[in-house]
Amino acid sequence: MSSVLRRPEIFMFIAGVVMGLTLFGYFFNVPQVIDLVTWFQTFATHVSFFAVWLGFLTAARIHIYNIQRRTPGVWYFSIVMFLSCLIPFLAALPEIAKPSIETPIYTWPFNWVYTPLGAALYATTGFYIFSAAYRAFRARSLEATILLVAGCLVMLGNAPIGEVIWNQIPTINDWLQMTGQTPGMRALNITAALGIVYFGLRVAIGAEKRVTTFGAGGG
Amino acid sequence: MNTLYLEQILFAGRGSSLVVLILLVVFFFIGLRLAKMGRPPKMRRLPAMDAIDEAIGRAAEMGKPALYTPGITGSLASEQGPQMVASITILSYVAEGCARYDVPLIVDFAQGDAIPLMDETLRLAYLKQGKPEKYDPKMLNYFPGQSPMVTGILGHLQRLRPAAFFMIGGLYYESVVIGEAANFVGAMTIGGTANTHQLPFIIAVCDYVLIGEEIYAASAYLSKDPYQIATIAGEDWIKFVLMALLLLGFILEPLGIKYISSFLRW
Amino acid sequence: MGEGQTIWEKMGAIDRRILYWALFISLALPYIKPLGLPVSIAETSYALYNYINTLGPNDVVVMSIEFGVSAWSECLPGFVAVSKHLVQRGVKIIYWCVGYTDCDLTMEAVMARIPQLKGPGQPAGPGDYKYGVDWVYFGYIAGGETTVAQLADNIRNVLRTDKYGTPIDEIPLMKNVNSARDIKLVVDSTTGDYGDYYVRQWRMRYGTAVAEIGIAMNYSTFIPYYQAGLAVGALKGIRGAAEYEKLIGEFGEATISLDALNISHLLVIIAIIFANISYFMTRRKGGVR
Repeated sequence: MSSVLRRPEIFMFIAGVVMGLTLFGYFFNVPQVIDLVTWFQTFATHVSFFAVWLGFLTAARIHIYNIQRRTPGVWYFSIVMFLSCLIPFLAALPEIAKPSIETPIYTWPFNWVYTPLGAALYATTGFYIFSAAYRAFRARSLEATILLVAGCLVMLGNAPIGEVIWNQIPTINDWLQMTGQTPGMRALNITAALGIVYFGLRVAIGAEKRVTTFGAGGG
Repeated sequence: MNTLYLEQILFAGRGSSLVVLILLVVFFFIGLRLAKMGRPPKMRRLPAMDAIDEAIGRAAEMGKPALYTPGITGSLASEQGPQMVASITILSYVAEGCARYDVPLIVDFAQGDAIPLMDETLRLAYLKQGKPEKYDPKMLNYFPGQSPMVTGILGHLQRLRPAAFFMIGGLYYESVVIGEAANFVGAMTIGGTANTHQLPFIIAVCDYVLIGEEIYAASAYLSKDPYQIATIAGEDWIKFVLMALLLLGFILEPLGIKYISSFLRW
Repeated sequence: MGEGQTIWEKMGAIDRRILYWALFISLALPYIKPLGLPVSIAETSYALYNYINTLGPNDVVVMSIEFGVSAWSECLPGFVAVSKHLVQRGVKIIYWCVGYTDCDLTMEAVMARIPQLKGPGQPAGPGDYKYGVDWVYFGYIAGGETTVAQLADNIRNVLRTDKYGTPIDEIPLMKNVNSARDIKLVVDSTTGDYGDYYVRQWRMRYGTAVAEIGIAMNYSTFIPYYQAGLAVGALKGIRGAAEYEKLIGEFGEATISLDALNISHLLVIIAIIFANISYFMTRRKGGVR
């Protein structure tokens, strides 16, 4: 039975039916189909929430291994990881039935540890962009030179100091952003959208063998 | 369900999209038919895909691992989901290469619902190379969110010093951070995304780049299978149709002939 | 930096920690000695300002918080400036968030910067925005683009209560608001793709006006929508926010941050020029690159 359920044709059939109904619901106003598609979407959202548990189990496997083997340099971080999962979870248990959990021990680490850490990490992006620009923006060819000059003009146009240097910089910047880059951006968007549709079709008919042979290995 | 009824229930403004979609499907099957008749179309080179083997070979020579991240795409059911699936197809090829040359592979990601697909894809890739025992589920490192994933990747880059780094999929601000960090540790970097806002950064920090739609065509390109390549031909034909529409609109609209704009608004 | 390297080669391969320190110091300098350079207004900022000027107390606008605390420096000043403009015009405001779980912190920051926005239970005087009547906050709503589409179709299918647990039917502001048809404008402030979601699901399907206050990087991806008439305006990162502060006559954080923008951009350009001088000098001397 389990080998029958793992047959690729079953996955392809499900993908095909869901794809067909979703497309139909997008184009045609048939309330029954739209309701069904909404149900599919809600179902998928719920699955992705449960997948966080799967993610936790996957991460736990690695961290338990680290702790058991005392992997040098990382095992104590694995303990921190488990504690930071366990303590808020236990603290939130009494409020599990409520629509939102507001226990400080649950919200405080999120608001005042996780969020500032994320913000700090994001703030480092500027430094990385700086060193990447220093390394990459070199006039190695005609195309690279055009990119370099355009990039510098846009940067100057983005900052008021550009206007102080030359009052035509904002005009050039506007032209580059509104006229120069828009056709390229549109072309990229259109071709990426076509790429998605074709990729979806290949998955649906089983031509995308690397993912549609899912489960074919048995076991 | 007759045609008139379909027209009545069609949402306003989506008719032209439906026509384009139907054309896409028709071209897709014409491409398949041509392939079956032994006339597959030619496909241009994708240097980034050709560089995958070079990067894995480099890792094998240096005795260092390869690091792969499909980025962050919310969930498989989201509008970014196809990028994740496309990335997993490329991961499958990378894993086969790593299995062939015994290069340790680490996969860092932040999407829980992709774990079964990744797990099975990697297992099959190692099985295909006759080394199922080499596959260890601990290759998959899940991080619960964007910033944890970035931190995890930075940690792996610093500690393991991989020789090859792949970031292909739904990438956001992390692309410049991890790409530059990979460059700092001397890894050969191959990037790719359909997120247009990140392309300039990826181009700046990576050695090779898959631009936009190329990540969706990668699997067919890697397989060299005429049947798969044929499915991409239709994509080019529809581009010609769209270009013709643009050109017609460009000529007719100034003359006051509004057929094209009416069709697009239908 | 190895032995026997020329000055040009050393300059080309400069230790990135030197670059990082240079950037850090130059970002700090304007806080000691502000430059205060004038700023001109971009067409897209004017367009948004002019559109909001057509709105009044009978109109409802959605302000979608699609940025996390990490992007406060770039998105929050513009978000606050547009909110202030809406308050000046007396427009009703709905705040919600589809993308970031830390949006409560952002909402607190917006309230701290706009004293007229009175929270639930706070007394509202003349000129103040009374919670539930003039503005409402729904907090984080999971589901990405699917949710954006469902909100456009029927807000009540997705939202039963506001952030503070008040049933939606007991909120006076929401009495006649059911779908995208009842909303005059969606202003989406984003670090990612949420502007696209609103264009696809609100503008394309229901004709609702959409505008974006994105990070500067997003501006170039959003401009095609503006040019196609699918968006009524856009602010370009912190510069756009400073332009908007100038337009509404309330100078704030964005105007202060502009000096850092000036110095950092200038530093990057100078660094690029140095890198290229090094590149050409090394190449002329037959160096390997």
